[in-house]
Amino acid sequence: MSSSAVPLACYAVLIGITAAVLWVWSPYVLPSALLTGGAAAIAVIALAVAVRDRRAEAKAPGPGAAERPVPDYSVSILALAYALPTMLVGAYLGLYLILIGGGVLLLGLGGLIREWRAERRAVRRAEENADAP
Amino acid sequence: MSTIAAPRGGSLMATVASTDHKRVALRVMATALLFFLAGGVLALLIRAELFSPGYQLVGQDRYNEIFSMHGSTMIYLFVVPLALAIGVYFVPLQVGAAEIALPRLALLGWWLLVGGGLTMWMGWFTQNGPGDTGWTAFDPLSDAANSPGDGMYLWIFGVMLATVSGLLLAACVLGTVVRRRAPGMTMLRLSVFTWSMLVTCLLVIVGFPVLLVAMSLLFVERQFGGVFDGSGGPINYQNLFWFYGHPVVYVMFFPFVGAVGEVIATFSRRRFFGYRAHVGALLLFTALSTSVWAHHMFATGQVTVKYFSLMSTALIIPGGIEYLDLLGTMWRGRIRFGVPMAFAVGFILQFLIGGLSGVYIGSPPLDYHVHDSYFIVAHFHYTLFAGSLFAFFAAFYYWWPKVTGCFLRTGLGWMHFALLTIGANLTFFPMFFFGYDGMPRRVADYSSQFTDLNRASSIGAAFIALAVLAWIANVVVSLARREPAPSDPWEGHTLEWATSSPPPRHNFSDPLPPIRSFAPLLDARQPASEERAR
Repeated sequence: MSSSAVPLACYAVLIGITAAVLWVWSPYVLPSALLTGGAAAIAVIALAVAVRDRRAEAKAPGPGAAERPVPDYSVSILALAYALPTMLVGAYLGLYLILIGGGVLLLGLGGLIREWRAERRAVRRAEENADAP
Repeated sequence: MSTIAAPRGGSLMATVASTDHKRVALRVMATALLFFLAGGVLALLIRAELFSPGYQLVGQDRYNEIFSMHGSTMIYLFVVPLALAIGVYFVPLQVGAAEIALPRLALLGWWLLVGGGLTMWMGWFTQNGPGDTGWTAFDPLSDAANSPGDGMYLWIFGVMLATVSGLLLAACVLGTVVRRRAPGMTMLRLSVFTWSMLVTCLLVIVGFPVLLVAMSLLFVERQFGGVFDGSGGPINYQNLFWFYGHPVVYVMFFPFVGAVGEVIATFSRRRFFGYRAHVGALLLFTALSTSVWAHHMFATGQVTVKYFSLMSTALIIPGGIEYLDLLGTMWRGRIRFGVPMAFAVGFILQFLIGGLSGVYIGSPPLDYHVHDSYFIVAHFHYTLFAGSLFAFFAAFYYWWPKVTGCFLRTGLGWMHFALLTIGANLTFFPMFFFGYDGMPRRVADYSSQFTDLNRASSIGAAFIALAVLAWIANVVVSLARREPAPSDPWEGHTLEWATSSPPPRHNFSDPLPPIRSFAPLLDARQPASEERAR
């Protein structure tokens, strides 16, 4: 079993079978639809994994190809972690919380973009160093 | 694989914003264990109230809040995050990765768990108290007319945040298995524990979004009404809830059975027995456990009883294979009976009681008899407490030297095991009897005919409290007066034992050993065993 997609596909097929039996057996729509939806979701993920696996195999490894940026910490995530519960609770307690949370969310997303750009620069530098004689 | 590290942060930054999977996992575990203690205090209040018939400590309304928050805390804030956190720590190590996939999402997962837990528990400070409709919050009991107040809203938000947290942690673990495996680590060379985490993540991905839908609809129902109106409305909520609610039982089981598999193989000094059958059984188990949710709804009369009863009973096939593999691993092994092994065997024996009583209530006529009685409480506490928690402690004693670099005290460990075994069985076994005889769950008062067995159960809860104190004492003593542990104190089979204790920031300082099976370290020690396995 070389591909990571195989167990996902097996799981999708197995619950697809149980969903098919339930469609035949059950007069109720929701239970069968839930199970079918689950099978479809896992099948889509399995397909995405299979495609990525195939692309990774086809891609010839170049200099620095194995380099991967690993962040040690992320301040932007703290902003997201504050923003999401605030906005959620704001759905009940008031619009002001949604607005505050939304502002912090934007700050957090901006910070994430900065972090990702910094990582890409670091990868590029590492690749240039690997190319250097 | 080489990595590029960003500049390291200071100690505060490392505490609150570190994306190191080991730090994140330890924080999730610490958060979950704090909620375990809080939920445990609520459990003691429940058992104190039930020590005698009549109302002792609290009235029925406060009792509703206490058992609802006990169940919600234990499931949403303790066992599920704990199960996933073990995967966040050990899966990258076991697949030979330098880092978890999507480390920022793992960090966000921890913070959303904290946010969800605090939001849910903030309900205690509201006028009408916290959510008081059980951990299931069935509609119409949980609608605005029947459960008014802010606490119920906070409960819904808390559940949603904890659920998103679980989804994020599971996505990271799944991504690691799929994308971060070391060269040579094929799918059929994954450790037993990693396989159990893989199927756990699949269950999370299928089930948890449906709970988010159910909670969102419940929120809209409470705000505006009309969502679950009509004859099929409440049943629709139950279908949505249990589509999450049954698979989550296996989210709380698979990681622990995987950990027990590692403990048993290591302490039996044998290669795990029937590896391929075990992997197949796990996949079958996962598929069946996704397909049995409506056995919780037999008593509604609006489910396809034959189908769900058949599927529920079929669970015994993969379950039996897994048990056979665990016992087969011990068979003819050179067993070292240390504290981790004791907890692992305790798990096998006690989960058997929980599992077999599950087969019993998978039968509709028997389920009708014991539905909403203490028999059900006994069943799920034998699976979750006497089962999964024992397996957690097996994993805890097994992996503690790897995580901290020091040993736990053996004497305190045995005391912990003895007290917990007595406590768990004294608390939960009597519940089968007074449940079968008709004592309903979720009541603060009961008929005097159940007094003696309820008293035994309450005394058992005190034993459990003592066991938890012994465990905390063990942790404190072991950290205060450290007995250093080598990198591989148990002669483990999997890759986490090939690195230092605790592991360095990027997990492995030295090159990985050759990976030719699911037990690469055992291969290195026992080349003949490797040949036979091939």
